[in-house]
Amino acid sequence: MTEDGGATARLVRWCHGLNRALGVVAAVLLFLMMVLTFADVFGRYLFSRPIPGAFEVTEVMMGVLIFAGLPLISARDGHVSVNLIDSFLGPRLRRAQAVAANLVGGVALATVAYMLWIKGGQVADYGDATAYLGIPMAPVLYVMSVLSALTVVVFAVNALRHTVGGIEWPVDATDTEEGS
Amino acid sequence: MEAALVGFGILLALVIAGLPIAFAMGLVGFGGVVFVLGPHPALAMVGQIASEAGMSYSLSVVPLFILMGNLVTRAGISHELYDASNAWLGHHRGGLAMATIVACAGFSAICGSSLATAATMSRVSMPSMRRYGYAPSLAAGSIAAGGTLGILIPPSVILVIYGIIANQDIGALFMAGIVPGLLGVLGYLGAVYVTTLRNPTLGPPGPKASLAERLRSLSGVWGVLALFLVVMGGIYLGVFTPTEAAGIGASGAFLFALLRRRLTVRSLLRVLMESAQTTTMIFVVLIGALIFSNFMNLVGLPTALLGWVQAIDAGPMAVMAAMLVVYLLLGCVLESLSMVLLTVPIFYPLVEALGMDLVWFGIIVVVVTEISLITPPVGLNVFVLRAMLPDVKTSTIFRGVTPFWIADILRLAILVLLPGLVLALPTLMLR
Repeated sequence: MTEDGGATARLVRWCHGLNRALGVVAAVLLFLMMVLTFADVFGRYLFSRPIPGAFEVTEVMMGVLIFAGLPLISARDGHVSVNLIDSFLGPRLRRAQAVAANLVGGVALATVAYMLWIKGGQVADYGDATAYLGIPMAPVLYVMSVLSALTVVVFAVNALRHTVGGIEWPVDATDTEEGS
Repeated sequence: MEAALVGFGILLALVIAGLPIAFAMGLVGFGGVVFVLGPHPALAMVGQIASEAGMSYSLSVVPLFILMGNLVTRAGISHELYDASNAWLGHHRGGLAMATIVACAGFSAICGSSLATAATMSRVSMPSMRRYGYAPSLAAGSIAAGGTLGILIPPSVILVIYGIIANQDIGALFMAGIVPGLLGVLGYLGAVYVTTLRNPTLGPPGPKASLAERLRSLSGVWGVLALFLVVMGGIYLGVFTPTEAAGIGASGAFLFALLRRRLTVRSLLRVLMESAQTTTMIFVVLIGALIFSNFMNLVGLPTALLGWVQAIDAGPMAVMAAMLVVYLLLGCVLESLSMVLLTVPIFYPLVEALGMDLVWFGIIVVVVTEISLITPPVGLNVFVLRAMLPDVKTSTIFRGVTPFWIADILRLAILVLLPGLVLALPTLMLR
């Protein structure tokens, strides 16, 4: 291995940067969703003027929000699982378990990415758009598909990381608990 | 029917082997549909479910309520909640443990997660219970049990998920959770009372607060109370939908945290990112569960179950009892969200066909799930406490939790036998 842990470590750092960026995107979307819902309700009651099409914007934001969080969760082995037998497994078996989980996750998300892309194409052909604002649906589905595909990459890198061993994800200042 | 059973068996094996639950459910569901209908319908199903579950307006209630809970946690009201309940209850025998229960209930009223409630309250109430010489078993037991209230007292993420799968009104479910939640508080207080009656050294009384101190302590908790009243009152009166209530609640929590000067740009970003991640985690499991339940429906498991129940001529109560046993058993192995997602799609058509109320059933499912959170060997709340309090043994916590567990079983029996307790509030609301 080289001084930086070699190719795997570089890949891990690259994925980490990607996850930082996507995390910020998800955070901003969530904040906007909150503000939008608030403004919609208040507009409706105070000025009898709800935000037109708030409903549709929220739907689109939800789709992107959820899929933007996927690479990060996957990188941290953060998917909900039962660790009933973990304490009975030796370190080698545990690593094998982690690699297998990441490979299965990768195949699953590859399927999702592929089908969302196909669906995006179909929707583009019909010219489907949301009813009120006319937001075209195809680009949204394409974005969700690309985010799933990026998750596949992260799963692969994470599987590699577990196989090589000894490489951890970098820790950010914002990751640390500041107490409450 | 065989296909369903084989599918279920493979699923359990994969989950126990440690594969993330979402992928295990997705994989088995997908494989099953391929087996029955062929690869093309199965692939189409994946695209359909992933895009529809992802882009759903009514599901935006999930991230917004999670955000509200995280913002209020960030605002640091847990200390005030504990201090206020302590001022009123602390001087009784076992009073600090009772105060813990009440503070947990208060925290649950803005946070929809049991694990977060247990983790937050352990940081606040454990040090003071230690100072007054409380037995670790009682102290940790009261936090673990009090924390389970998080998923019953609205807003509750699990109730939202249940409402989505079983097509029930989320507002009605929230209202239905209030009385059973209060019953839970009473039951837990009773458990502390009985425990310290039998052995007073476990929980000695704390100092008595003056009336002025008591009243002053309440000023710290007005924000939580106001937020809860706005969100629940708004839903109850039909001022806004649960989804809108979640947005209002999150905005309120945001302002609250700002006013208390507990937010910097960085900490806000962190809270938002954390909430978004939790959302993603929940949706991945949700998508997996939808794929799996599609397969179960395709092979006709709910119908087969119903036919079987009718063939052996079992009454609704016998069926209910059998389902509760299934839940208590599954609860020993599975984590709460996946347990609800796995079982509800299969059980709710049966419950409906037998003429039982689905709002009531939702509450029963959540109460059983609460119990599973403190049942060995996979009582998740117990493990949260174990991580927060490294010097307390797991077996000690489980021993301390036992009286609360008994109180929970009693409450479950009461709620099963008296559905009116659950349904009174939602019926009033819908009038």
